[in-house]
Amino acid sequence: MVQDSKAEVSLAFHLTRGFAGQTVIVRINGKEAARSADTRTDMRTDLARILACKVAAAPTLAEVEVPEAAAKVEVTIEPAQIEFIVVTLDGRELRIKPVTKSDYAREPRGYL
Amino acid sequence: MAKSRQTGTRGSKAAPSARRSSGATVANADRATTQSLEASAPLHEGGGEAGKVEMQAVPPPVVATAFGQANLPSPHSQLPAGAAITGADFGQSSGFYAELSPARGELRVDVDGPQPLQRLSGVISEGIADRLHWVANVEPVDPQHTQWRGAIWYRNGTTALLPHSTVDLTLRTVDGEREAEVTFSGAVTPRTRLYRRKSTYFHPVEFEFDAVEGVTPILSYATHSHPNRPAGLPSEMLSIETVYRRSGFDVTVGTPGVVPAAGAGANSTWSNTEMHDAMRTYWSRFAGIAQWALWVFFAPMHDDGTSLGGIMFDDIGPQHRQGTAIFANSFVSQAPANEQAKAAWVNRMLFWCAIHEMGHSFNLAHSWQKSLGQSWIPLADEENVRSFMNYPYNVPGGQTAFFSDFAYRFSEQELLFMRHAPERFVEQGNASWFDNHAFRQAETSPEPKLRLEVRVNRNNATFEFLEPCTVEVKLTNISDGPLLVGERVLSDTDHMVVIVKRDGDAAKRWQPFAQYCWKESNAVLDAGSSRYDSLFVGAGSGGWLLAEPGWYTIQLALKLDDEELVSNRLRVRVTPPQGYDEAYWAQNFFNEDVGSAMAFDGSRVLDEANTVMQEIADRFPDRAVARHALVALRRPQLRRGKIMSMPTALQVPLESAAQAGAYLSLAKSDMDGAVKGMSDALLKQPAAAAETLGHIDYKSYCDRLSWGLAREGENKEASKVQAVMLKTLESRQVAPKVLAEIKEKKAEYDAA
Repeated sequence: MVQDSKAEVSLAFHLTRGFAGQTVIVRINGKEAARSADTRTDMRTDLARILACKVAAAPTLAEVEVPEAAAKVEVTIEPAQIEFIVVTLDGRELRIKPVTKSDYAREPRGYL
Repeated sequence: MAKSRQTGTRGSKAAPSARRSSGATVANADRATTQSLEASAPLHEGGGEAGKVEMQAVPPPVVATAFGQANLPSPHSQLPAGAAITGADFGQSSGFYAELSPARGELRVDVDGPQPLQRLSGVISEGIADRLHWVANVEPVDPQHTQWRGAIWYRNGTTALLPHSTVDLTLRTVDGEREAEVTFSGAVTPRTRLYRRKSTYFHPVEFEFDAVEGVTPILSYATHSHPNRPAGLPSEMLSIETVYRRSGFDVTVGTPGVVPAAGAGANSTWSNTEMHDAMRTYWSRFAGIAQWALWVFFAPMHDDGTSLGGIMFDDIGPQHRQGTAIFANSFVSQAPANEQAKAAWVNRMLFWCAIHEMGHSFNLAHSWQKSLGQSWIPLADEENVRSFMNYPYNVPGGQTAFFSDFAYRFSEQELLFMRHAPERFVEQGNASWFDNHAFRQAETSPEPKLRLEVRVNRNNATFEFLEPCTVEVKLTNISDGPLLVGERVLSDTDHMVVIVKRDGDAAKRWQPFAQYCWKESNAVLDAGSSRYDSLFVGAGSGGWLLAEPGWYTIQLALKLDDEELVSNRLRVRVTPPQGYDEAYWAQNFFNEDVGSAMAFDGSRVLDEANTVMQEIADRFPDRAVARHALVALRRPQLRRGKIMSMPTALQVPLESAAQAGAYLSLAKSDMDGAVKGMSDALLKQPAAAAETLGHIDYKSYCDRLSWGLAREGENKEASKVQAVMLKTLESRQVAPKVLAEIKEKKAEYDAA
């Protein structure tokens, strides 16, 4: 299926393990798209927060920054192919892992 | 406050200082063995049932590996998947044993049955509040497995109750009942205790499964319905109930119910608050107390959407972990695109998810979180373990690999926790041992002869911020005839346990600043008569207990020769500070020296405490704390007092004060300052003074002021003090007997 490059799709960032009150900033193509203050992982579900933003259905540079950890990572994605992006923090090491729709179809996952 | 403060300290103003230094070890030891450290329990939080957790020889590490490869302490863990969960749901000898009366100990034997851990654990109880929880690893001594032996490696509570290091267990059947003889040995004289089995399980628990209308709960799973399974997995219709029975719980299931979808509000998805509200309404067992019971709620979807498969939602209010939810329309119902047995896959995930969420209610953390936070014993993460508490899709190979060797069980360290950890860590809703548990060990009589009450002399039990909290203790003979009770029954804190718990915080045991040796003597307490005393519970040797704004519960227990009495629970509120100044000065006020000076009605040696109290009295003259500060500052000045001085720094240990060059000197009295300060505190606004100081202490201080005045020949002024006190306490409807005493004293001064 050909995606209209001007269409918008929803992109979700799952802030999961390792957060203890930090601020998380999400930038799409260099522009701040979402921000989460006082981000804390809920130990019951392993999830801190889900940040959703609308992005164009075109190759996108997604950047996540945690200023308190002086950590910033970025990844280029095709938003239309992404189910969600998992963000974890291990001390000062920030990791983001896109879960594609095909990954998710093979192995549905979530939090409990 | 005064009576408790005065006794034994009169005329010896070095006492507080000496008591603090010489008593430090004792006080710390007491504190360590009695304070409850646990607040509302987050996942897997440990701490101390009665404070101290003593670890000796940490048990063999439980290594996180896949099932069948674990270096686990139990040999049965290496059985093929499923082999350990076949057959009966209980063992010939395992289960809960109660110590034979009159002892009140508990024993949990875990040597056979499903997934035996080869552990013994128990609780030793002595007196009102002394408890010790212990755990030991044991090995069979004889081929018949009737004798077991091992080392005690976990102690939690009053460790002095179990100085032994080794435990020997002998199992036998007597008159058809299973009995256990346990001998504790090592280091000190061996001690043998006898127990009888009361249950083949370790704990009871009740589950209630309620569902939103239209949602079908998945409560069981046919283990062979999905082709991806361990080769040795028995074919059975496995129920949630059975899984928990095999984990050691005597499960009962309450009547299922239907929850209207309207409870989710207009959006038809459920928030944690909505589920909590539903739990309060629809859970037949909801009682706002800790209990071995759990509400399991099946709903379509959480507010957070399909990404949330379930949640132990109950972290609202003082009792947590009593409610858990599973969401049928979440990702757990989305079978993989290439899945051949979609229906079985979904059923398996829903079944697994329900047991996972219910596991959280037993305070189990996720498998990869074991090392985080404060755990009851050091735990290892089990990232790849095949346990209900792991995420199947997070292990190498994903859920396919997970379920290929998943035996529908919890890991060994999870079972160890659920079966053998102090039960308040595990029991649903059990935030701290004081909540519904503090005095459950007390041997209260079904027909008591005496009633113990704790109260305050004010209409509303509300204390200002900084106001030292004094309560009145009342013991009433409610029998038909006279009784003999100790003359100092309410002053002798050796036989008393006082618990102070701030809402949301851990319960703390009040510890007196001093303990006294009194010659015991009894006095007659007529039927219907009462004895009273005051108790300064605001601070003790463990620190200030009522310092923060909020709601508190205060409860007492009293051990008499043949009975233990438990008081009512007094609810007390401490208001927030009036402004920045109060909050700022609180930092200086709530320290050990000020607490000690308050407890002993003043000090001539605690200079910093006196400075703080003077500042408090000057800065906040209209606040209740000012009266307490003035009394503590001025009362010692009514007479001369001894001070012990040390020429050099204190040597520890101090073998002889004299050899260390200590000497005693007499501090002068300051009658003018004392009379003015005491009069300001007691007589200017006498009703307010009587309220904040409490009737007993107010009278004590007024009597002391009169005594000081009379000593100086000021009998007329002494009589005036009594007159003000009489009028004040009359208007506060104090007992006629007390008023008569005051009149008599006043008459004495008038006649002098």
